[in-house]
Amino acid sequence: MAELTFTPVIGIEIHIRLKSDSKLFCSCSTDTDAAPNTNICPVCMGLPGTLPRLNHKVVEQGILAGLALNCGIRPKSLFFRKSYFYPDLPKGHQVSQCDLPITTSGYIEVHDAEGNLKKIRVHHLHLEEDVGSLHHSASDGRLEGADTSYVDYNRCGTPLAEIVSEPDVASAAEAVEYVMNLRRRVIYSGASDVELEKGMMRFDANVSMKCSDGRWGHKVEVKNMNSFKALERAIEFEIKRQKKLMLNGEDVIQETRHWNDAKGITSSSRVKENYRKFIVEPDLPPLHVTQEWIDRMKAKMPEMPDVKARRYVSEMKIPPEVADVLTDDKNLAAYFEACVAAGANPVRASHWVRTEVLRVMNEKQWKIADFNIKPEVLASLVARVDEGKISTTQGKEVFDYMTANNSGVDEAIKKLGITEGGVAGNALNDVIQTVLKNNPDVLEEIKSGKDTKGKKLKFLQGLVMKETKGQAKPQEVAEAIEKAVRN
Amino acid sequence: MKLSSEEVNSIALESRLLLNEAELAGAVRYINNFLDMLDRFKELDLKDVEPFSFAEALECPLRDDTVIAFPDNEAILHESEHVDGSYFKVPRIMEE
Repeated sequence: MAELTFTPVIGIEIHIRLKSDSKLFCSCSTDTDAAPNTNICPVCMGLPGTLPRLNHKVVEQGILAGLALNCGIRPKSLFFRKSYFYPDLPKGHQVSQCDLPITTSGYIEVHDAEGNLKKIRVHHLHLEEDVGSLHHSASDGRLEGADTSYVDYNRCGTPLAEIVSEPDVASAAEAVEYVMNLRRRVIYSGASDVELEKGMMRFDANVSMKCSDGRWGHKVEVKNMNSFKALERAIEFEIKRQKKLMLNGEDVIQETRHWNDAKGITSSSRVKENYRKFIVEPDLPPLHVTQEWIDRMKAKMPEMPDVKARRYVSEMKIPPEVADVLTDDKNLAAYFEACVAAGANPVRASHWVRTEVLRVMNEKQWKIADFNIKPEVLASLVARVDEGKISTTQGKEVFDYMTANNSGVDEAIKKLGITEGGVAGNALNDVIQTVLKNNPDVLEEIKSGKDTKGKKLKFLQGLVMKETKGQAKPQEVAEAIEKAVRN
Repeated sequence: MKLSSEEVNSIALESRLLLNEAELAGAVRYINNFLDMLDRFKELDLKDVEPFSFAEALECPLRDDTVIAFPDNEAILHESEHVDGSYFKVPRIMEE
């Protein structure tokens, strides 16, 4: 009997907070770190007699994010009320474009198990409002035994993009690459900063399994993953769980499961609502986006990170893994390109940025905007190393001096006592004469022919190299000493 | 399409409505009459008709992304009887 094989079939839903100063339908601030319930108003609290008014900027952010996911922009989209009762939703309904979204039919590229590029199709991206946040605690602050939940509506009504993929994802690794690439592209577009630590990106995964004997397991929705690692672990756990059930001939129940990160398991979850009742939001007429508006947004789109990385490889001959690191952050890529524009050799500059610049940024917890060596200054340093005016080791010393002292290349070189172009010719001969003068006994030994193995010559060479701070060429030093000794 | 009295009752509960037997029977009749009417639309050829959502051809008004703080969030907070400090209080809601 042939062994049964299982293919995971996974779809990912992502919520991303779009960047705006004010909420989606009212003028309250989107600052969710403010004191609880300070950024609320009658509109986002759903008080009677209020009217929502759509934020122009959020529509543009939605278009930019959609373009970043290779989606088409629809000329007409519509908001609906998705009704359910839960204390995080004061209106009793969430306003969402669920059925007629602003952007549809895109894709994100990932690598499959064989390393080939494959497209994960994006079904659509729609705009919707976020809900409030719940805090649970007992009177003594413990979670267990809490009888009250506390609600903060500062987040309620802040703008979200919900991004729904087709079930094209076949593994936890593909899922992680999908969300990472998607995040990078959205950040590049400027639609959102997608700061994970601030909860600006949340994931749900729909996981089901197809068995080689023709059986299909039911779909399980896994919720509560808020990091790439959690997404990866939750999917891996769910694949194993469903496979085991199907191997035992049991059914996979269609349900919502909750990821418990501390325990590393999913467990059956109480669902918020039985029915999701949708009606057209009567207070918001259809949103029309003209072709002229779409064209304006397209003109704003920067080169996407994966496209940029491929260009670095093909045009600048930068190794692919270095190109990936450089393009991970739009500002770092811009810094590197500014170095190249200032005349630095692209391959050399890429290594300096990847190793030295990132090292210092990491040590000092800096962002590239904080980095105190201007790209043209780094380009000048790279050029001097490249032309052999200073050695790579000296270049790194100069680099460290510049970051520590906010200095330029010339000042650092002077302060560090480095001689550009190395110590050679008459300068080298002067050093050699001093060394010989200070070591008459060694010189005598060599001249008398006792140094048959050349050890004393080597000793003098070492002293000269030390005196020149390693700035002389060893071959030249050896020849010059020999000549000086014979005279 | 017809809804059973169990389905109508469950929808009523979702809407936080408790119906007695007579009210439930009335609601089932009312909803099913409405669904019958929708079924009659299916007899029409609507192939080239745009889905309808608004009676008037209105443009969705847009506003600038400008923060204007509401001057009295305390008043909103005190619309509720269940407030603790600056939080609204609700019965315990926890995923097990």
